[in-house]
Amino acid sequence: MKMKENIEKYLKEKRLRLDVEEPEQDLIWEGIRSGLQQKKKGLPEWFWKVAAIFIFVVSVTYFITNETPEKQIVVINLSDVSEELGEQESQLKHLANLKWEEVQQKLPEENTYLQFLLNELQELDAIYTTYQQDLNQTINNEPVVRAMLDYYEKKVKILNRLLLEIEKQKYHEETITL
Amino acid sequence: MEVLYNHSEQKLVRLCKKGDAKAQFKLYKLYCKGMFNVAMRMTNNKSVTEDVLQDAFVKAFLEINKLKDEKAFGGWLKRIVINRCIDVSRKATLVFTDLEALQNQHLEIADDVDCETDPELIHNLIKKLPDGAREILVLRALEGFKHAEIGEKLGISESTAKTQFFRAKQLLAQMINENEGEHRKIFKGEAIKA
Repeated sequence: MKMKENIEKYLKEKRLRLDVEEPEQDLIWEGIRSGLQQKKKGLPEWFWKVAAIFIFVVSVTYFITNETPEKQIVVINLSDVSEELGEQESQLKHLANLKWEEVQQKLPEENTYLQFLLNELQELDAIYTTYQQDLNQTINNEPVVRAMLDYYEKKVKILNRLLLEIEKQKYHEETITL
Repeated sequence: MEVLYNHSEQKLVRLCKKGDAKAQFKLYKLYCKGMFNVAMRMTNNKSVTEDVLQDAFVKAFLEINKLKDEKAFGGWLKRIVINRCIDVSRKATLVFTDLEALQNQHLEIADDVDCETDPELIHNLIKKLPDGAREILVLRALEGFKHAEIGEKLGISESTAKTQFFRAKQLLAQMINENEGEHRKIFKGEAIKA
């Protein structure tokens, strides 16, 4: 009589002997080979990830280096802070311009004796540019606003002094001539 | 399927990681037959099996760098093959109801088989099992998966997987014994004629 055994045990023991079918190896390999070639033709996933990171880094670097606040300076006047300040500034500016026009009209050809005042005016204008930048960055910063209004007052004072010096010189020349 | 591990296989895996086509072919040759038989028992369809093998090997070679333990290539590949088989059978919708009818009719069938039964016959009879039962039997009895894992993979409960496995064993034993009975009758008939 033939020996019987549990089917599960049988399958476990004869596991390797169950592999009886012969595949068409060359046919299957051909499919694998073309499958691998097709996948290789397209750029790998990591390439796109690296490209995306690269573009991001370049964009951020460009933004940081080219779009800094220094390059983004927009000239802000006191009128941008408040209407009242704008009006104040406009009046002082108008006054300074009138004085400057007067100075230009009266300025003699020989003006070396006035040069120190003209230099002061230039320096004052240079300082005013830095005030504008400060205002651009801080907006409605009280000390800066005060300094800007002060600039016009100083400018008017210097221009008045210039006119005075011109008048003095003129008077002096006339007195000597008489 | 178990392939005896040796150093040359480890070397082949390393070369495959560098994209060496010759090494890929050698590794394929080494595992082709075993994986083919696993997939045949899972799908019972030659053309589907060939597709499964192609997909599985392509995936394995493309993702071989993810394999940390180079000695584990065989087991790793077999998992890919089995998962692919399950994906394919899910598309075709597994039928587990075939065995429900048996549940009432053959409760008392023993699952013993003759020790000398031809393995080729067993292989062919496994393929004739209903789809769901066949997959569970292959995964549990031949590939060593746990019931819980089978349940997870096939989208059924662990207890259903256990019941189905029990019925699948009974059905296979019944098919083996019936086949041998017929074989004996034919053998006797031929002997009388002679």
